[in-house]
Amino acid sequence: MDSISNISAMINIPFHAMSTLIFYITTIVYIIFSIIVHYHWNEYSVDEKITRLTLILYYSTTLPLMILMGIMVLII
Amino acid sequence: MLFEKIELENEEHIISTIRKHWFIIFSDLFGTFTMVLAPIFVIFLLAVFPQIIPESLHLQSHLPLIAFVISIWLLFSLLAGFMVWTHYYLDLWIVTDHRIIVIDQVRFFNRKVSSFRLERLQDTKVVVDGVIPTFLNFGTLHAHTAGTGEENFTINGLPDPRGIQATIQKATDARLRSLSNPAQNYSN
Repeated sequence: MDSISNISAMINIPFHAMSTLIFYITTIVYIIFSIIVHYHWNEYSVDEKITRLTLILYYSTTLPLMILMGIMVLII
Repeated sequence: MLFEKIELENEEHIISTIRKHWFIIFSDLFGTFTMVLAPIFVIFLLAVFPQIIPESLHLQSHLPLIAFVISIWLLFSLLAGFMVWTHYYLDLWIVTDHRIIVIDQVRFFNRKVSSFRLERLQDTKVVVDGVIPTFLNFGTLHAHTAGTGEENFTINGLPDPRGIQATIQKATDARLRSLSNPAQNYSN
């Protein structure tokens, strides 16, 4: 057993269960954060173009990471 | 959008819309860039110096777990970066020919909107403190208003603070002139 597997054995939770739990918590945090970001930009921005650019950049950088995390949880 | 919500008075026109200097957002986002680059730097180090990895650590068999941890790290770094950008962009000062509207986005769900009438503005002071602010021309504007509460307001990280001070001063003078001679206001 290597050092990383030892951590799993030590805390008595399999990596898969732990990563799934972390993924769910991260997803909830991400959804809440996205709603807050959306609300603030739509409500308080003065430039529609900058708002659109920011939101496109936000989703194009963060969504792939969420998808990658989901795939990794299935593999672990 | 915000401008639809700020109700301008009759004959009130926006003279200038001001945001903090670009160096402020640059320095705020520097931490985020460092956080985003940290895993890439660690991977680079491990690739160049594989001997620093302990033998008991079989990283190859845990690649999905490593990718998962890096994804979380990058995600939270990006969220922090977007939070910084949101606070920077939604901080705004609007100078009109009647008043100064100061919008301070402290954090999410903490927003202060103050309005100071130009005719109540008593004096303004500009402070440019430090080497970088001097070279890049940004600083702090302190303004003192007369009234029942004798309010002061301070705006940090203003680009071209002396130019903005001059703009406010000019707008104040014009406002005082138009108030003392309302006919002139209509003739202009």
